[in-house]
Amino acid sequence: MSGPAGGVASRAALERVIADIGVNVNADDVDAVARSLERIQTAAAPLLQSLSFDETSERYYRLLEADALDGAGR
Amino acid sequence: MNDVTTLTLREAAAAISQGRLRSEALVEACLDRIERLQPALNCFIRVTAADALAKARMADQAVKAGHSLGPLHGVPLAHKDMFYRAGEVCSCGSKIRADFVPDHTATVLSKLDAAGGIELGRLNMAEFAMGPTGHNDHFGRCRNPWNVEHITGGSSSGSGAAVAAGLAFGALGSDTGGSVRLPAAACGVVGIKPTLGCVSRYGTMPLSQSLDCIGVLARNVGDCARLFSVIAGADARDGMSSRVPLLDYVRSVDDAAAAGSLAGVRIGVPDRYYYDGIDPEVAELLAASRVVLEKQGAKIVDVPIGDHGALNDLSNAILWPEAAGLHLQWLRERPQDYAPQTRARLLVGLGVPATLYVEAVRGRARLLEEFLRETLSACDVLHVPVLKRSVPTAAETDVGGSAAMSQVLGQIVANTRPFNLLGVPGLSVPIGFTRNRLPQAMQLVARPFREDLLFRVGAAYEAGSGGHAERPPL
Repeated sequence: MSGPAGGVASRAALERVIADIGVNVNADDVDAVARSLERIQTAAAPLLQSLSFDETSERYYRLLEADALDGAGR
Repeated sequence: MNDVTTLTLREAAAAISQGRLRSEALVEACLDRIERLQPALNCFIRVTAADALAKARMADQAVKAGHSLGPLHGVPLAHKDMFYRAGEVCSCGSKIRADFVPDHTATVLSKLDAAGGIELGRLNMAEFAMGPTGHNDHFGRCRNPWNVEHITGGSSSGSGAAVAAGLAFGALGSDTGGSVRLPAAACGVVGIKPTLGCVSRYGTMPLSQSLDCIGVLARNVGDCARLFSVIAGADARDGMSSRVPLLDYVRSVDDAAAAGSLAGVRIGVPDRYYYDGIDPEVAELLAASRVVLEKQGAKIVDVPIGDHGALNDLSNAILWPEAAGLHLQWLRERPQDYAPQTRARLLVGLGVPATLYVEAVRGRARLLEEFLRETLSACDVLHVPVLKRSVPTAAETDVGGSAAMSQVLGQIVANTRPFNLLGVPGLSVPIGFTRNRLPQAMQLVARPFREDLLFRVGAAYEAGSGGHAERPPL
């Protein structure tokens, strides 16, 4: 649902996506999902801007452990 | 001895192992208390009295034979009903898994067993650990021992309430967005959410593989540290378990008892978000807690912090797709068997685009780097509220799956969830009471795998403040 998830078109698309997964939803369900998506996408835009190829989940886990193993503050 | 349920976990373990107290007597005292208080508090989903008494008698026989079973010798514990034990029902707080019998045992339960702990039964929780209030449509709402009209916090609702009420000396919980720290704070006990990967999740109900942490709740920091030292550590059966060497958590607590023990420790107060819009009486309690830490030798410093409101929202891009993926078959085939709120929250995960989910998972490295560089280089421990207001009533938070759900629940987890996204450890420590006689807590946050420092600061606070040993009026 990239783009304005709160728009009418995107709500319809969202409903189709969920229906295609095989889960029954009504209009209220879709509205609630769309509102949550808007918040997530608003938050994500600045935080995840221009992620490089090397910014991986493995890097995150390495960083968690490396910080400890490097003795930062230990 | 008078009421043995008022002992600390460490006192109880010492008394049993030295033969001054029988484990059987202690288990019986807890079972009596459970029988008396369960109708009011609804902490337990199931009490396993016969098993507990049998194990207590074995613990007493071991003492007579001169054998030590470990640091939890004969101590009664109880756990959130999401930790698998082979051959025993594990409901996960749900109707869907009401009859689920796992074929394997959680590593954390095996470790507690091996250390001599005795399980009294299974505790109430939010359905599938999805819910920060303590409501449960299937097993009934767990009630706060300080005032039954108020929430316990969740999702480890029974863990917080049972420990606070003196029904058990400690409890396992899980924390994916605040589910240990919130009930600890609301019920006036200590709770730790460890660094991601520090405690095995093998044999525990999954909610979100990227965020789930297993923690413990206890009546004070020292008890919490002892339990944590038992459950922490690498586990080859958990693919995301870390092999970072553990530190001596119990010694951290012992070291904190001396005056001035926090000399050289910088306690950081963030310049935005975590204190924004805080209730004045909660702010006063937090300020008073910083004064205690300062008297113990710590230096209080203002520290910069990133946009953690956005982190809070971004965590939904990981949590709900992972949860929805796990629940997809039941969402298709048994939607009516979920509480409306649980189902509504799971549906969010179906709408998150796959690319956004992957970006959010990848982006954690950048966000953690920024947090370590900008905030945790300027201080050793961050000091923030768990809740920005007094513990709400059940009625205030009884929103089901309505349009108000997102806002009401979002406010409760606003100060806990960002640290799950980052993966760093957090400790909730009681700091007193608001005017309505409900507990309040500070949340201490440190660099990855520095749980030792959290216990040290928490224990120094308890030593300096005299602790908050008051029991609920039950």
